[in-house]
Amino acid sequence: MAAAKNAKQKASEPQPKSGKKGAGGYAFSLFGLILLGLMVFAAPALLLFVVGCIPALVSFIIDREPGRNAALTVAAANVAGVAPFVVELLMRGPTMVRAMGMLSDVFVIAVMFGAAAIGWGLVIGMPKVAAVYIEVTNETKIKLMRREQQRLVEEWGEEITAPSGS
Amino acid sequence: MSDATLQLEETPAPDAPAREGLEEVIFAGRYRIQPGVVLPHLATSSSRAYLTIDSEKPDRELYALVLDHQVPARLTAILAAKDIPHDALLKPIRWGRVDWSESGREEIVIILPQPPGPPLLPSMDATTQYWTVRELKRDFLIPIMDLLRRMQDDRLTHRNIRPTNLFRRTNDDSVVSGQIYSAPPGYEQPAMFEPIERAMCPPITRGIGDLSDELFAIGVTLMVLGLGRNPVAGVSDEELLQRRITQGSYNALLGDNKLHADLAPVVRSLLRDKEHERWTLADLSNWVNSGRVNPSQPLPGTRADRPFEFNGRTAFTARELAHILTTDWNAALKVIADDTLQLWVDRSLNDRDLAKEISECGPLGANGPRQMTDDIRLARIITTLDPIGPIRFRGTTLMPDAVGPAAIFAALNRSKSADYTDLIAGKMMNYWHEKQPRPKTWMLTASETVEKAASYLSDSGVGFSIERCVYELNPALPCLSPRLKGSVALQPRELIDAMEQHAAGGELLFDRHIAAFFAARTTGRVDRELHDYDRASNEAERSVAQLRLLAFVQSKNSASITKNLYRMFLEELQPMLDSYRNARLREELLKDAKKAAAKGSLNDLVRIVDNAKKRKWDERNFQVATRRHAALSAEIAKLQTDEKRLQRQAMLLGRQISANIACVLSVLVIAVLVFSRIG
Repeated sequence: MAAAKNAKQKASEPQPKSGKKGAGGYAFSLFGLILLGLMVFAAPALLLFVVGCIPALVSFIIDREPGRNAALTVAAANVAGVAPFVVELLMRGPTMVRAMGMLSDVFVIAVMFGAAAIGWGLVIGMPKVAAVYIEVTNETKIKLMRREQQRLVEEWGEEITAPSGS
Repeated sequence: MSDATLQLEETPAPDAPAREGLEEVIFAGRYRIQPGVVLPHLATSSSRAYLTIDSEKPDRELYALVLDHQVPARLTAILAAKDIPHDALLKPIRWGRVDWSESGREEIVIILPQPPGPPLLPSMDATTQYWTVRELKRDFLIPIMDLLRRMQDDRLTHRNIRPTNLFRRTNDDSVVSGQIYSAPPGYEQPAMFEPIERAMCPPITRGIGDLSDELFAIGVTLMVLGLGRNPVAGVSDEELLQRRITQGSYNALLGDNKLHADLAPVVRSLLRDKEHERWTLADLSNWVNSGRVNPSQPLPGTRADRPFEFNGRTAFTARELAHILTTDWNAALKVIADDTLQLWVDRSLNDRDLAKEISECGPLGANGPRQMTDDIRLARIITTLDPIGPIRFRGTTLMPDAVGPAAIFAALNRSKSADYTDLIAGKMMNYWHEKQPRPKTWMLTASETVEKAASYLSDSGVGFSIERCVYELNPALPCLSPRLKGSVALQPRELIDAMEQHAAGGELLFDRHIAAFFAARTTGRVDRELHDYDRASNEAERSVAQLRLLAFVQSKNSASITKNLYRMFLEELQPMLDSYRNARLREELLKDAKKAAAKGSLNDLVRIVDNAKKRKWDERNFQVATRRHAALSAEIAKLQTDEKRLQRQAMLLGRQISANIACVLSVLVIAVLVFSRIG
């Protein structure tokens, strides 16, 4: 009984689409190829990228929710913050000195980690917005259901409101 | 108009209704009955006679007999008379119900031709010139015997032969019989014209009888005509009966009077009290044709040495004892409590066999009742003492061939009703038949009638019991319901019409009589509807059963529109319509019912109100709707109260949205970066 209830509850929760999992796999593979390319041809850029993406890594470790949407959000925001510096390093010549110089620049670190923080901000703030949306949707649903109940009562009388079997 | 016709102003009939009916009454659109002109010489003990004019043939001399509602007409005689090609019998022209007055009173009338001459005696107290033997043979016996032979061929009895119902043609002096249709056989006969056993009964239970009863009546008529007067005028029926039992009918009726020497043996032979000793029609015919008299030789009856004393009365013969025992039933029950009666029969009457038979009246026997009571035992003893006499049970006396008319008597009287039921249940008819020394022609028919009565009496429900017997066994009887108040219904359609009229005033006529009348007179069986009515647990169910019954009767017997009944039932059955749970279905049914009201067909209303298919649909879908309502309530409650679920949903959706936004932004940033560098 409890298992059925849990299954039902799970069924009612939004699930990551199976296609997305495949897309995630491709993205992960692409991401791996980029990292491998960086490791082979521009190790300093990889270092900058890895250090810049520490918040994303942490979020992947701590987010155990199905779909890992929180980690994805933080990672996406983090990548958006890291990418300009990695690109700049690659364009100017990926040397370890330049990479270390960038890593020791507070502004660079602040931008990279700040972007991740924006991601976290989204993760924390969006459920509240979603709650408002769900509440409005539920009220509409309830209104429709009450209307249907009213129609049933009009058609069949107040007796149908009595518990069945009484 | 015949000489005997009297104007009401001059000689009002003794039982004529008040002057309310002086206006002409039209029957069947043709016969103009004149309530102001009564014909007392054609009236009978149960009917009034009025002059009637045929609008289409005004020269015909007709009269109308207005019948007593509680006495059934002889339907078999009315139907059979048309096929009797004999001019010595008045044949009915038409019969039925007629609106008698504007106040709504209805009557049953029979239209008959007026007899072609005056009655042989205007009343039983009147005197006339005595008839010679030649006149009696030529003018009376030859036509009447011929008529009886013809009627016998049609298995019809006359049972109305008496000087006041015989008429002498003015042209050839031959005698013509008056009507025989207005009452059951023997009902209108003075007791003196009936053999002793039938004279012991009330008029309505004298029974159909047979030719021997006709010959007895002919014998008495010969005596009266031979003397020119009634020799026992002024003697009460009970006193005359007592005399007849002790002295024999011939001696009791003739008294000190003298008949013509040629006539006396004939009358004596016709007035034998034992049927097998009485002359037959062949004997009488032989005398009429050849003048030979072969007087019957009666066996001497057994007479006791000393009388049996009971309530100050004495009996010397078994028949006398049977008769006096019935005068005080409770005292008679005490007499049979010991063996006094058997001892008297054995020692004083010297009839050991009869004493033994009396002692054997107690055991039930193979054909006996389920339970023996003192009443049954006494009735058996009386039948044993006087086997050819009527069945006597408590206050009821009847011949076994009068079970039908006796039911009317019983239905109109509560105590007689119990007597009738107990008598049938006590299988007294079987016992009576067993005790008959000689079989009678009518015994088989009577047995079938009794079996029919027993089957209806075994069910005490509405539409069965004594009321059902009344209508099943008396096909010409109108509905006796006291609620009809002046309306007369001979046919189911007439009763439906009467109900429709009463429904206009907001009264729904229905009682045990009406139910039984419909059950007996309607083609097809309505027993299911009657049982449903009995088993109904509430008013609505009862009304539905009533409606179904009336609808069936209407469909089988009546084409009349019954808008008032329809409206009344619709009002009564509103709770039934309201009991449908679906509002749209209710509205639809009500609309259909109102639409069909114009046709006034009760069958339509049955189809609307008592529709099993729609009822089933309503019940089934009500359950579905109830479950749906409950499911919606649960869902609403869940949506309103499950905060945890709401939060989790919000968190998952929020994170999903945030992931989407972040991904889109990230891609945009990278794209802008790439394009700006490339550019």
